[in-house]
Amino acid sequence: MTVPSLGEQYSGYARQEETLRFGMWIFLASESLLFGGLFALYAAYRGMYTADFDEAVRHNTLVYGTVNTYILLTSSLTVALSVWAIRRERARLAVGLLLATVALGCGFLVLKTLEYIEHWREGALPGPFYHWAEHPTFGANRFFTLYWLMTGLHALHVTAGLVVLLWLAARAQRRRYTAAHHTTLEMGTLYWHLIDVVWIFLWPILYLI
Amino acid sequence: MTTPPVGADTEDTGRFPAVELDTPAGAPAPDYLRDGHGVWSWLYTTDHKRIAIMFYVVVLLMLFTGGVFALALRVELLTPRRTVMDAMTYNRMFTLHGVTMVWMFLIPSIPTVFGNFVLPIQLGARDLAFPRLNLASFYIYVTGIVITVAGMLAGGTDTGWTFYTPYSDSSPTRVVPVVAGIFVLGISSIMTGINFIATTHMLRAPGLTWRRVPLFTWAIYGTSIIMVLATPVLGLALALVGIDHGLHLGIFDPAVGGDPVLFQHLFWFYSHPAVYIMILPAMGVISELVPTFAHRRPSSYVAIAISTLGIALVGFLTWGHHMFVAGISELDAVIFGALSMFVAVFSAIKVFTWVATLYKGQIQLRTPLLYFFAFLFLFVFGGMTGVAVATQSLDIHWHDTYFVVAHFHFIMVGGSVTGFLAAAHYWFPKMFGRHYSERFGLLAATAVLLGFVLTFLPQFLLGNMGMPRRYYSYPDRFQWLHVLSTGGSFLLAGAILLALLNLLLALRWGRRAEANPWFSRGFEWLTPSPPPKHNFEVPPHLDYSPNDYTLSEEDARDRAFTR
Amino acid sequence: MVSRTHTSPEEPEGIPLRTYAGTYVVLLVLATLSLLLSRIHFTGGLAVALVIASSKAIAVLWFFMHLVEQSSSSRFAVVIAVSLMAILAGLTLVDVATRHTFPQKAEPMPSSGFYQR
Repeated sequence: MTVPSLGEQYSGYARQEETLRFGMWIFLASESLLFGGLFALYAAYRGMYTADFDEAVRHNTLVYGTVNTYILLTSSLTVALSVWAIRRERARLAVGLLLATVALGCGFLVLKTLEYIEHWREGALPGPFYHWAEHPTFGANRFFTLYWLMTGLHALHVTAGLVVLLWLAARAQRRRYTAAHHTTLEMGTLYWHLIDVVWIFLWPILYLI
Repeated sequence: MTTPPVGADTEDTGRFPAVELDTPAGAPAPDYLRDGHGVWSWLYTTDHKRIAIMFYVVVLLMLFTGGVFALALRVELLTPRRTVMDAMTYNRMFTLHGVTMVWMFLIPSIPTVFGNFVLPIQLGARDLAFPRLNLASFYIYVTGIVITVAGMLAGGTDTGWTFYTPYSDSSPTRVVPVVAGIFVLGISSIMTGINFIATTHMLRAPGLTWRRVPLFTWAIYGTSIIMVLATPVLGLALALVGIDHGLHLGIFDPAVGGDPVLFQHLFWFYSHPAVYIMILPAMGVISELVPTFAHRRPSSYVAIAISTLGIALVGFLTWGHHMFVAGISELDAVIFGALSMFVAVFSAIKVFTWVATLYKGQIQLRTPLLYFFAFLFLFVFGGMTGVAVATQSLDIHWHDTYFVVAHFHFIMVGGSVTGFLAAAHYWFPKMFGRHYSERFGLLAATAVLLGFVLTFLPQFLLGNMGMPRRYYSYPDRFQWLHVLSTGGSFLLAGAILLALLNLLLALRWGRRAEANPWFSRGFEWLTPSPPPKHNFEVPPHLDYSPNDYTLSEEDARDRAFTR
Repeated sequence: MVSRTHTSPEEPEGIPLRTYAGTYVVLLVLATLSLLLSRIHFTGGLAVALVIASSKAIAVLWFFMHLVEQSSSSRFAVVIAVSLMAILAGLTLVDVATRHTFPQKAEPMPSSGFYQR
């Protein structure tokens, strides 16, 4: 069973791990502001083109968005359970759960890609590339520009999250996490949950209402 | 990293174990400058003090670079029409001056140099919470500079440091590498902020309650909150400009239904709090040196600590006052105008507290205190003109004139740069174990104040007379004020160089400094000058106030180390 | 405040399995509810959707992300981030909503639909 190294500035493991967790939460607060700017942009454009946005949302690809929502919620469960498993010294189960999360995340990206292709075929592209003749309004243009920006930034984060999860799985496989010491695993899972929380808000504003 | 003894993971005494040294028993530990030799021991260091020195070197380089751009601008403005460069070059020059000074000098300056060096020691800690993140933040800072400078060398941009759309989307200049570089610099900023916040919460020595946290640490803490929460929005805003410039998505383009003012909302949501990133650390320096040189506790510790948080948080509510004439709604303008008035209250509280601290104190007139006097005059003047331009009815006339330019230079240079120079002198003995020449220090500080006033006071007059900012040519009647300003700028530049030269020469030829040359009660003065690598051989017990001048130095030392 | 994740194999602490499962079920139910409600068009639909989304987010934050075990400082970080996002979106929206300078009705784009330079 490996014991992590203790930084000289720390009086004990408890202090070190609590600090790491707190640092991660500060980082999450920071990351969420990155999306926050886009949510503000969305709010502003929606305020400007309310009717057009309502119309455009209704013509977005609801099935893709909804299936992806359920996928991400489930992935949040699996990744949370990986921590539960490690706390019971069940490293193999934890690895399996992490890989399941990766699989779900890949599923999300596959559906996203198919969805993007469909939008491209319809002409629902951002800015000056927009040419969906059935909805030729400025508002629909703004909606889809924001759609591409917000889901694009989100998909970038999902991709980064997959890399993090694979790295965590590799370390868990090598039994680097124990019930007593698994802070890095927790931190990595927090990143994945952030991605889920962002999507929890993206889904209704882009697909539902 | 140490291998902890068996059982260490179940026991948390709150005090880190004493360090095992290589030196023979009884010999003092080498100071951090001599502990480890060779370039790699510096480039791979995780010692917050060495990282601070590395930042110091690059930050000063950036000050010089931005200063050279400034002097070039001032030379051009000596005559009403072309003097030494054409209009397009002039536009790039003021853009690069702004970008360099804001993101490569001012924002990192005090936090990465003095925050890094002093904050852990002030908390009685051995290092920051995340030393490797600290080193990474340095390399990312350098990377951001390299990318931005590459953009500058490729021709730079002419958009102004504010990158307003729609021009930034369509400008024929090198917008993308410059905004990309600033984006990377922002990442470094966020990393630094996370480190300082976590350290302040988690690594305080036993006995060090929040009410005893040194005021400089409070200032850095408040600054870090802003860095962490505001910078991502800047990153987004600049990324959108880069995307628009490269891919022409028209995110802010009216031709496809966009609104350019929305960029300004995103930009200023960061950039207004950013000005507090630039001034709060300087205020923190002042809050340290005033009690020290008055040999008296601050009139109200709580007032300064709370007003620090007040500025950090209320500063997020005021960004629209940069947009009064941009086309925002009247209601929004009124809201922002009213909220802007509150921020000034916190700054005023600090000013009154500092001045009251001097009353009935035992004043030592030293160079850092002289910088405080310069700061006091210039910051108050600049701050009051800030309230003036935050008044919508007045801003209609002053917006985009030299009045605004003068206002923010009074704060940025008169406040932040004097704060930086004050810190450079105040902590010089601690950082390098030497004394600088006090005579040249006082002379340079005086020259800085005179040079500053000569440079920027005429600019208030220029702005009030109607001279617009960022203009390459101007009516003849403005020339005499421009000539005064340019003369002042060379005096100011010379004075700053003199101040820094004094310090540079002292590195080699200065008289050796004792641990506490200013007789301060601050915790950083408990260590030797310069401190050893681990700051404290014996973990201190800090259960008294760092401003408690009723304690004698010996008593304070006893309390810290004999528990 | 020391967090309570310090465990040993004999007595695992932290959140029990049934809480994770229960949270998941709640998330699924809320998502489905939001989906069904969105098919009915009523005023305030967006507000209701956002309230449901916020509830889901809080569930994820509190249980999946273990905020229930964390220090008050970490929780406060969440509160302040959310507050600032609300302020950014809110004051920007106030500007846009009270300007009265842009067309309220749907307006067709220039006929070619491509970027004119």
